[in-house]
Formats: sequence, C-alpha cells, structure tokens
Amino acid sequence: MKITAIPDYCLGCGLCRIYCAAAHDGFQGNVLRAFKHGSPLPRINLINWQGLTYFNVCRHCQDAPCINACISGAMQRDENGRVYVDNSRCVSCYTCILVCPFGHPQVSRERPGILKCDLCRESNREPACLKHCPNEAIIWDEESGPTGSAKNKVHGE
Amino acid sequence: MRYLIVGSGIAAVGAVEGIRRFDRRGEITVLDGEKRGAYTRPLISYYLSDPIHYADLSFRPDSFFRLNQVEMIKARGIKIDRRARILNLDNGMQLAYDRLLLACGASPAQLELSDLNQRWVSNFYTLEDVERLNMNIREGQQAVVIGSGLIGVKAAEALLKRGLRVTLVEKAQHILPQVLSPTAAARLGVYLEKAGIKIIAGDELAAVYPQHRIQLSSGTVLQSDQLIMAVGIRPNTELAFSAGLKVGKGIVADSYLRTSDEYIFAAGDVIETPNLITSNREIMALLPHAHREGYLAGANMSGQTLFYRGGVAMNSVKLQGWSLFAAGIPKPGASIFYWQEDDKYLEIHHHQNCLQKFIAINLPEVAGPLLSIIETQLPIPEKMWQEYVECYPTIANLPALYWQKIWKGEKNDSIEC
Amino acid sequence: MALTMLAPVFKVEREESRCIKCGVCVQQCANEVHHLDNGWMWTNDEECVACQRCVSLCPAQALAIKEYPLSFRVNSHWTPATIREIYAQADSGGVLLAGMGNPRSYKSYFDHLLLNASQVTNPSIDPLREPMELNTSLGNKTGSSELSEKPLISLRLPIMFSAMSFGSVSLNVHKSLSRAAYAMGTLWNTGEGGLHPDLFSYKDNAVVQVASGRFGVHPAYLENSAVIEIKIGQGAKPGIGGHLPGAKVSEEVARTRMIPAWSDAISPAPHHDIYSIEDLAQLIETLKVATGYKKPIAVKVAAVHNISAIASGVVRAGADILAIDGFRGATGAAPMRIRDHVGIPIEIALAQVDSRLRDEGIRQQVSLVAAGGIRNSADVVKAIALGADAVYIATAALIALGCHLCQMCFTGKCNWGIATTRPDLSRRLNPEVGAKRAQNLLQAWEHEIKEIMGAMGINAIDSLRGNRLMLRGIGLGPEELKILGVKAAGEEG
Ligand SMILES: Cc1cc2nc3c(=O)[nH]c(=O)nc-3n(C[C@H](O)[C@H](O)[C@H](O)COP(=O)(O)OP(=O)(O)OC[C@H]3O[C@@H](n4cnc5c(N)ncnc54)[C@H](O)[C@@H]3O)c2cc1C
Ligand code: SF4
Repeated sequence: MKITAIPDYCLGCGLCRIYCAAAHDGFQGNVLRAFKHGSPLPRINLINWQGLTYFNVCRHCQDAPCINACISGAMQRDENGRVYVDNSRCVSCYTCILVCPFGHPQVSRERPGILKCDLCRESNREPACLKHCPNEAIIWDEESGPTGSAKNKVHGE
Repeated sequence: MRYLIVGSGIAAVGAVEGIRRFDRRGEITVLDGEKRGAYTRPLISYYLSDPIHYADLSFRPDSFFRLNQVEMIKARGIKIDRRARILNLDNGMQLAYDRLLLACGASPAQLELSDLNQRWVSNFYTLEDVERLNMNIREGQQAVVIGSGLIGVKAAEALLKRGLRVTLVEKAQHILPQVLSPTAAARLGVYLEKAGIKIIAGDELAAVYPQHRIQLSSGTVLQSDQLIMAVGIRPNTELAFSAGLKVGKGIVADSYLRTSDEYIFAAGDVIETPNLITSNREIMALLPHAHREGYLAGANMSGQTLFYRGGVAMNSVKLQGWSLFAAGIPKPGASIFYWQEDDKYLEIHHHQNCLQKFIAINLPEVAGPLLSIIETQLPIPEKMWQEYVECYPTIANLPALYWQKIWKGEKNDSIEC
Repeated sequence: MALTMLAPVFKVEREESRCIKCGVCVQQCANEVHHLDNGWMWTNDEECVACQRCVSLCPAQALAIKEYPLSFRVNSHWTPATIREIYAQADSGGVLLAGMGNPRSYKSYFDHLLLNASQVTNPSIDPLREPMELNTSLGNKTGSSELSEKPLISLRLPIMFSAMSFGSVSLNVHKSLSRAAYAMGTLWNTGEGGLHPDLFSYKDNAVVQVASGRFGVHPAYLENSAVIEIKIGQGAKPGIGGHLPGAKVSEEVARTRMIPAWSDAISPAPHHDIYSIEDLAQLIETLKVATGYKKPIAVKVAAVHNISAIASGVVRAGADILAIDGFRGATGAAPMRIRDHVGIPIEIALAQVDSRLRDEGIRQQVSLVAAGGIRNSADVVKAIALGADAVYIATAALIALGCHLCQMCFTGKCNWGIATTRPDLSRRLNPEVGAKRAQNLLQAWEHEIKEIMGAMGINAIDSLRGNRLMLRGIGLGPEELKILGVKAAGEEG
C-alpha cells in the first residue's frame, strides 16, 4: 500500500508537510501545538523540479531495500505492509538513506534516527497528507494499495 | 524439504525469510556457531560505546526463529558428506539435508606476527570480543587500533566514546583506503583528529612486546594498553573447501547462489559477490548484500529461480556526528568532480558516460539517488555532473535524466534490489 | 509616476500568535500580497482582491481579510467604489475592466417572486415516494414523427452549464464541467474558444459555440457536439465583442482556437456575416446542412430592450433553441460600464419572450433557455414557471469549483485555478474534485426542485413550464406584474 501525488494537480503548497508533522510525535493533528510549542518533523518532502513539484514519499516497496539493508533491524514492515522505522532500535547508520533510490528517508538535526513516511500508522487514521491535500492531489496508489473495504479496515475511521 | 543453514548471521536470517516466503512447511535447521547466540554483527561497536543503551543486538525480534518454526542447534559444522547429503557437527551429531546453505560468514584476518596472544590484544569481530573489551577497558587508557577499515574506525570511535585515548594506524596512505579518496580522507582525518583520534597513516604494526608496547615499521614505539586488530576479514571457506566445492577468495556461487554442488547454496560474507559494474567477483562483506543473498538463496532452495545481479561496494557510516556515504569503485581515467562547502563534501567519479563512484560527506539527501544511478548504470553525460557540482548539489538539482526516470516510474517500487 | 491615490480596498489581518510562518499563503497568492523574508511575514494589502485563497489554506487559521476600515468619509452618492474608479481612471486613462457578473444592487425579480404550494384542495406529492419527472427535451417540437428533421436533445434535469471559453477559463474547468454534465445527463458549453481534443469524448454532452471570432470552428468541432450554439451576444456585455489578452493565449489555447499563441484573440462585436435576421437564417441553415440536420441549432442573445421582437426573428430564422442571457450574466472580462449598465433582467426578458412567442403561435418551434444570475434551485423553478425550458448556470458552477467572486477574472491570476491559463494556477483545480463538486451541486438542486414541485403538487417539470399561476409577485408595481404576467401576492386565481 502506498500513496502518490498526481504531479498535474500538486500545488506545491506544502500543506502536506505541515499536517504530516502535526500528525506525528504525539501532536495529534494539532498544527498549532506542533509548530508553536513543539519541534515539527515532517516525514515527507516536496522537491521543486523545473516547475513541477515532486512529492517525495515512501513507496513502501514490495521489496524494500531499506528493510533489507537496515543493520539494526529498526526498519520493518507492519502487518499492513507499511514500512516504518522503530527509532528506539535505530543506530543512525543511515544505510537506509544510502539504499533508497528515491532519496526518501531523511535525517533531522533535532533528533537521532530517521524520519520517514509511515502512512500515519501511529494514529491509524488516513494519512494526514492525503486527508488534508486541498486539491486531492495525493491519492492511494490503487495498483498496490488496499482498495475499498481493505483500505477502510486499515484506517478504520 | 529439509533445509540446513550453517551460520546464524544476517545471511541466515535472510535465508529463513526467503524460504518461508515460498515454503511454509519445510523443516529448517540453523546451526548457531556463535558462543553468544544470534545477533547483528555491525552493532558490536555501538554496544561497546554504550553497553546499556545498545544492550539489544538482535536483528529480528527474539521470536523470529520460533515463529518461523526454525530449529536452532548450537554447534559448528565440520564436514559435509556430499554424496549422502549429511553434515557432521562438532558435537558428534549428523544432520541430513535436502538443501544446505553455507552462511558461515568470515573471520578476522590475522597478521603473521608472534606475541599477538596477549590479554590486551583483541580482535573486533564478535560479541565475545567486545564483551571482553568492555570488561577490560578503563577510562584514560591508551588504545591502538590497527587497520582503518570501517571496522577499525568504528572501533576507534567506540573506544573514544568510552574515554580512551585512541591511535589509529593504517598501512595505506590514508584512512578508509577502500572507501575514501585521499582528498575525502584528509577532510575526515582532520575532523577525527580534532575529535581526539590520532591517526598514523602509511605505517604498519611490526612487533608486539610484552608490557603494552608495540612497534611500527617506521620504528615508532607506542604505548598500548589495548591493541585492537582490525586488518580485514577472511571468509570461512574451510568447510566448503574440504568438501571439494569450488572456492576462490570466497566460495564461488552462481547467479542463483548455488555452489558447484546443486544441493548446496552459499550466501553472505563467505561468498564472492559479483560486482554489479565490473562483473568481477569479490569479497564484499556488507550486511545488505548478506541479507539479500541469504534471501535469494533461501527462495531458490525452495524451488524458485530468482536471479542475483550482484552488488556494488557501498558504505554508510556516521562517525562522530559526520555522515559518510560512499559507493562504487574508482576507475583509472575517470573524471572527478569535487564540491565542498563548510563540512559538506561531494566527490563524483565519472567514466564512459556512467557514474562510477561517489563520496558524500554530510550530504545525506543525495546518497540514495546517486547509488541508484550507479546501480542502474544510468548513462549521464559528463557535462551534467560538471554542472551539478557547479550549483548546489541537492536532490532537486540532480541531472534531469535521473528525474525523468523517477517521474516515469512514479508508481514503481524500488528498482530491483 | 506621481502619487497614486488608490488606497487598499482590503486589509489582511494576521494573528501573530497563530501564524506558524509556513509560507503557504506566500506560495499561493498570485497577487503577491504575502511575503516571508527571513522569518518576517509582511503583506502588501494594496494587491489583495479578497479571493480568500490564503484564508482557506492557512493551516493555522491565522488569516482574515477585512474591508479596509473607513477609507472615505461616508457619502451615499459618492461611494468608495465610485471614488476609487475615478482614481483608477485618472491614473490610467483607460476603460475600466471587470469580471464576473453585474454586482450592483438593481432589483432582483427572482427575489420578488414567491412560489405556490398545495394545501387540502389538491394534494402535495412526496418526492421520495413517488416518481418526479425532471426530464426536459430541447429543440423544435413541431416535428410530427421520429423521422422528422427536427432533432431533440433530452436532459435529465433542466439545468445546463453555460458557455465559458477555454482561455477565459482553464482547461480543468472544462474537464470538470464536462464530466459533471456527462454524469448528470445534461450539457456543458464550450464557449467561443473551441473544443480541446482531450474533451472530444464528452461530445454527446457538449454545446459548441460559433461566435463572431469563429475560433476553433472546423468540421470535426461541429460534429463533436450535441448542440451547436451561435453566439450573438452575452448578458455581461451586449453589443460588445470579446478580447482575450495575449497573455492568456497559451500554446494549448492557441491550438484549440486555431490562432497564433500569445497574440490577442479579438472577437468582433457583430458577426461580420450577420447584419439581419435573414443573414442569421443563412448561418443556421449552413450549420444544419453541415451537420446533416442531426443537431439542434441554438442562438444565444443578450436580454436587451426589444428582446421579444429579436426573439421572434431568431425563431423565425430557424433556431431550435433560444438562449437569453440577462444583464446579470457573468464574463471573463468586460468594460465595467457595459457590464453594469446595459441590458435588462432575465426574469423580465423571459416572461416577455415567452408571452410573445405564444401570442405569435411559434412557442413550440423553440426551446427557451434562461441564463444570467441563476443562483439556486428556487431561481430555476421560478425561471421555468416564467416560461423557460431550461436554464444555464455559469457563476454558480464556478462557485462550486471554488470561485470566491473576487471578480478579477480578467487579470488571468485567478488564485483558484479557474479563470486563468497559467499552468501553475490552473493546476489548482483538480478536475476529479471539480467534477464531483459540480455534480454534487446539480444533484442537490435536482433534489430541491423535486421537493418544490412536490409541494406544489406537480410531478412533471413540463406541467410547471410557463405556469405563472405558481408565482406571485411581492413588492412589485402593476406594470412589472403585468410584464411578468404574474399576480400579486394575495390575488386569487
Ligand atoms: C564491527 C563491524 C561493523 C560492521 N558494520 C557494518 C555496516 O555498518 N554496514 C554493513 O553493511 N556491514 C557492516 N559490517 C559487515 C557485516 O557485519 C557483515 O557483512 C554481515 O554480518 C555478514 O553476515 P553473514 O551472515 O554473511 O556473516 P556472519 O554475520 O559472520 O555470520 C556467520 C555466522 O556463521 C557462523 N559460522 C561460521 N562457520 C560455521 C560453521 N562451520 N558452523 C556453524 N556456524 C558457523 C559464525 O560463527 C557466524 O555466527 C560490519 C562488521 C563488523 C565486524
Ligand atoms: S524508504 Fe525508500 S527503499 Fe524503503 S520502502 Fe520507502 S521508498 Fe522503498
């Protein structure tokens, strides 16, 4: 399962990153709490490339090289197929960064370990970026992602 | 189907995952040759640096082998009877197998020196090694690490964190000779020296004396409360060799990880890994490769025919707060482009329209894409790299050809791994 | 230039305790109102058009757009807008441009008409339990058999999307509206800018326009349609041609219009081959011949003073559908004085034309489509009771797509991705979303119309058409009531 952004409709506004940060680290989706009283750490990135915005999100690869390469076993796949990092195990060797062909995992100055998209498994809701995209440019990649009832099951709201 | 796996390291874990992906019922037996049970070898330096914080060295949750219905036997394999398909163990047991996987890893290479058998001389390879070090080291001691490969520098860093004074001795002209170029090594060297690691390059260990003293080839005599030997590794090929399997520097396996015996597979540090770029077979003692090879070998033992393309040499370490990424191999005649700013550094080796090698210090965002460019041998004209280092090397500024590929494959998974 | 006397119209208020300096407003404002310099946020209020884009997107709800506090001493003759317009003209020496529809406070006749409902003497109908027929067919209904050469178009509901040319609006607007029209079994209208090849598959729901510029008119264009509409005039600018500024004529627009890119696209005021009803008849006949008499031909005119005579002539010229655009009709760009002062209300024109055509016995030859300022389902019901067969909606459709009526369409900097062809802006309207929203709007109105009809005890829209007994005027004088053909509230009958 994974999400993707339709480049034709991505505005590059960056709201996905803001809501992403607010959806993690216990901010419970509260943007003000995250940005005014915490250190917001978005897991996704927007890259401007020749007038287009590239939504750098994890593909949750079927054959994820990062899981394969992780030296501490911190990079894992959960029962729903989401690739996530258990930062309590991560030793910051950054091998996942090296092997991800999409340059997805990021480091943060503020905190050891890795930042990567976990499809909001922490909250078990629909990914915050997808929910808040003002143009519905972020969508489930149906080829790989769960559809219909399966999706509801994973993000039973 | 009875699967027998010799070794319980990363390649073995990969193999169990590979087998179980396709075969839920076959019997799997793993021989655990480590005195301390299965763990992740690369974590030993972290363990030494902070034994409490890094107490857990397991690669998979404790329940991994149990949940995958794996029988663990604590013993070492000593002889293979290929005709009868039986493995003899050091405890006298005999185990019959349908498919055998040799995942017996490597051992530290040894120097031809006498007097290495001192209590204050250790290898840096197993959990036992670092547990012993952990008992013996004291703050303020002088440690000398021989060899500045990745194991050596990680060892040096761990000892520094524990409050020892550390000297790193390297035979080649600069540290991390396999990974870094002289320029990059010089930058890192200055930084490590500032952090407190003394570096002696172009010199090697010549003699070990009692009373914690050692001498280098140049004649320099050093005080050494702890001497750490990290001069490379040697694949554990004895078992394969004695069974008459084809062995070079490591066990020779084909693109399906099969040895010269159709019932015997091999994976991990013990085999020669095909170099993705040159197709040469070489020893690449790297965890991602070990896991991948184990996985594919496991799958193939269960009847699949998954092809292994090989790998490239690649390294990622964080040393004293600096992140270091390097991949590929230097080629004579390559054009080299440099970029640097503050503590950031990038070096790009370009040859025959392809990226051959890169070194990136404190530039994590470009590492993954650059490695994928090497792995896929994406043709990119030299001019583009020239332009790349002339602007700020961000992921967005990568050559358009990379981006076109990414956009086109927008929905793809990682390209074969 | 010397001091400009224009004071800002709007004031951007940023609540510092909420602002997280994320820069979304900066990134989104095409008018460059918001700025972020090294952690310092500031605004250039002069450029603000109150489109509300930043307010809607701000993740911290830190923004509010207010009217600029008391910019002029209160004066009900010299209103702030009047004064500002004079300043602007004194600055520029040019014609004032405006977008969307007439915003002035003329009487809205829809708001002076009330609907009837059944009580005791005849039963009302529950639309949830009983079928309600909104099916509407458009065209000349005097044909006797199915083999007649008088093609009819059938709609699921009497609401269509009005003409908005590609160029004045983005392709994504066309994509949204065409998909919604397809889903709802109704028609959308290309406007005078041609039909983009991406939309050929929506041809069965397309009204294609032939306007004075003849942009994008070719055989395939005429063929790829349900209805062909000759555009004579437009409610927002009767008697005036069109002018799409070169900056909006992107490569795509140019290809669709079959004109050079980045050059101004001028639609002449009249069709240069139509100077009389006879000329119009010729064009109608030509188009019918060109398309094998398979498609109804519509003629769109603006509601002007002698609209009933014009309508009679257009019907006699052979038009199958007559669209009348009232003076509230919107536009991508028009001279402000024309938009605000020319034409008559659609309610009046409609009643007038319907009566006239009945009197002349030619009402069956044509379907009447009312356009210009239809805001909701009640307006639709009133228009139909006044005599319309169907209505066109444009402004309401754009509002459904996100338009906030800032009325700055002519600048091409629509922050909602609607009235623009700039790729970075038009990207803001995802047609998936747009189609869904436009479709939702039609669905909602469909429900409401059924409900209103049910209350009246009417189960088919045909029984409502021209049924002015269902209307009562309120606050209208005898003359107005007479023209509208409705009784005053309280009058029995
Ligand atoms: C300090 C250190 C740091 C490292 N850091 C990194 C890093 O950051 N990134 C990276 O990619 N790689 C790193 N590596 C390399 C990495 O650890 C190896 O590539 C990987 O562990 C190889 O896995 P393996 O399963 O092939 O071998 P091993 O992990 O060596 O496992 C082989 C096992 O087989 C057992 N065995 C051997 N012979 C027999 C026998 N006859 N019978 C039964 N059992 C037997 C051995 O006892 C051993 O337990 C590091 C290595 C060290 C030592
Ligand atoms: S981090 Fe990269 S390699 Fe890992 S699953 Fe995500 S996209 Fe694939």
